[in-house]
Amino acid sequence: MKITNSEYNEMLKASSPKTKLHKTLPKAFFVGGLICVAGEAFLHLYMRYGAGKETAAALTSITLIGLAAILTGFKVYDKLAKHAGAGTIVPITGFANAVVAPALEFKTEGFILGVGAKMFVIAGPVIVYGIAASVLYGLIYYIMGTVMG
Amino acid sequence: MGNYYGKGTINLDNAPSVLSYASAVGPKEGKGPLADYFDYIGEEAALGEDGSWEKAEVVLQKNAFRTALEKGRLAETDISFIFAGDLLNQCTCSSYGGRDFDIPFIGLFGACSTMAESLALASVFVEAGVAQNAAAMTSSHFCSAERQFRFPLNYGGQRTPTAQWTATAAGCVVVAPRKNPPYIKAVTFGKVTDMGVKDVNNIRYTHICHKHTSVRASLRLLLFRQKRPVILQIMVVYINPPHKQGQQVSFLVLVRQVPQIARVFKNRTELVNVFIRQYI
Repeated sequence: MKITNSEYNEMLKASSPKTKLHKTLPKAFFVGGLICVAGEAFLHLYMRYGAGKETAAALTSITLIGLAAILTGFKVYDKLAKHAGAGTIVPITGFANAVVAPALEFKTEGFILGVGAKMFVIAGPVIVYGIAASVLYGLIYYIMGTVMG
Repeated sequence: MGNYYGKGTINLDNAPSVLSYASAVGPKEGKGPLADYFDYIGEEAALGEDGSWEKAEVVLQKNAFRTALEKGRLAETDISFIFAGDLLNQCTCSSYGGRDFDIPFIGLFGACSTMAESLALASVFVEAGVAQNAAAMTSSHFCSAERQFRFPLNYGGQRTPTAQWTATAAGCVVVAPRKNPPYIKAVTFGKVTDMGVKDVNNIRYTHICHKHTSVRASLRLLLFRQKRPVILQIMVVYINPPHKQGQQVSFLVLVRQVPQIARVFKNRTELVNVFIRQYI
């Protein structure tokens, strides 16, 4: 029996398990939503204790990042993420996890070439293209501002 | 002396024996359906090593090798060559494992086929009479493989439904000149085939496509043409010594931790049927 590549890929597609969207979507929605609710709660808490809206927002981000980093260190975050998927990756906490996880993993290769170099192996591209996009956005904003007066 | 049968298959006329074999696995494998067949089951993934996952994998490989020697009542000096490899860059774990033994070492990389590759090469060496006893060995560790090929362990990414779980395990087989069964009567080397599978996580299929041609050739040659029990190997194979010719042979084929494939074959017919369904 000679199988062509397309036949083989058909067979593969037919027999491979598929993502169960009816299970994964609600879980991601629920957990991601809860993280946002926690963020809202922190925001209100900080504002109640006298922080301005901008300061409170910054403090909220810092708190969520800190919590996610600590939970990653305790090996809790990845267990939660196993169920939550995008619900834990998309919020700012996912970004914290993506930096802390490789930092932990590569500690065995030393602090310079291990932790230091490998820490951004996942988050690096997001930072690079995020900054590049913001530069581009800034340029457009500046030019539009000059032209429109 | 062996002869080339064609299509990557070499007939081994002297049919070397599998003198002994051993396996060492991690805790997850120890809870699986094949647990009774393993010689050593580690209690935790680090296997008593706190330095790195690579060190843990070295522990498994050395354990499998020493146990295989013990079971075959062999000393280190009885082994002419070690054929070994693993999944990591520069075959790190095999090299660090081999460091402790005063035995000529032949490092191999065949990814998931390293066990078959080492076993085949060891058999050909013994068949040719250039090695007295040769050890074929391989290992992998879930954590070291994740680190090399996928994401850090604590990263919160979800595994795709087609993702596989790399076994935390090491296996060692000592091949010796013909003595007692099981014998190795032929070996088949597969070709590199690209079936255009784009899903890198779907290792089962990317690997099966490498193998299905050679497995089909082997099956036809080994199971239908030969009357005696033979070794057939996909990932790691342990064979209970057959009682009499023609009687049922227990084949144990462990293909990672994939429940659909990892199973114990009760007899030759079932093995053939399952293989034909799965691979051909």
